[in-house]
Amino acid sequence: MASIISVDTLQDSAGSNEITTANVKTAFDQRVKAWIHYNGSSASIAESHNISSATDNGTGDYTATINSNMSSSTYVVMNFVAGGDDRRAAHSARDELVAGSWNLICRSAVVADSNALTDENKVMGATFGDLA
Amino acid sequence: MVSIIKVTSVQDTSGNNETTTENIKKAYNNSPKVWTHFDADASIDGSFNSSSITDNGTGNFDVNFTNNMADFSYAASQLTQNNTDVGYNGISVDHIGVYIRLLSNQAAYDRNSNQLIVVGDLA
Repeated sequence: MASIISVDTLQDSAGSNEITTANVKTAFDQRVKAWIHYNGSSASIAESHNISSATDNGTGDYTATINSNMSSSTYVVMNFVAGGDDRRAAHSARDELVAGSWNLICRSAVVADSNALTDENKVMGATFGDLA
Repeated sequence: MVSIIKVTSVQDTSGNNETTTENIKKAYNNSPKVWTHFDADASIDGSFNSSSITDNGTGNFDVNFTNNMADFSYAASQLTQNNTDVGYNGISVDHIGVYIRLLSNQAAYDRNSNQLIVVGDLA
């Protein structure tokens, strides 16, 4: 049988670090639901949470597949590319965002490259919102 | 009357999943305080602590917060669709301005599926 303590507020034993039970729930509900650090050069996952696989769709175009799906397609994704000073890359999601996956797109920020797609070895993304 | 438990750590009845009260507090302090996913017509598809979007013109929006941030030194990150980029256009305790431009010619552009998160302290 599950044990439950009903309480409004937690504090540590010194009376510090007070937090309400409501905010404990908020912190859990709003945590990052899935994240990935992907190597686009070797098409491999460096590290991840709640990711079942990643797909290399072509130069600068990757799909992260979520293990436990998001509840809908209206969640929020933050993608980031750590490129060198001479190969900085813009980052953007593809038009489609679905409950079970999202895209990470890498584009060169070098003007002469006309924002061409580019493979980078430190491509990162995270999702926020509700799980199914 | 508000009930308070003073405890160093919490664990389940099997003695697993232990975490300190201090780390529970840190988890809340560093959780996103706002996130929103909105479209070109300023409609919200999904959100947390974002009450509305103001459409200021082509590619120019204000994301309004339900509960204000403590000050304007919070951190935010944004993302929009392929071939467009997004930047800030004013930052305040109760909203943040979002400016969306095409990558090809930097022209202001109305895009669907615009996403933003805010981390920091609430007021």
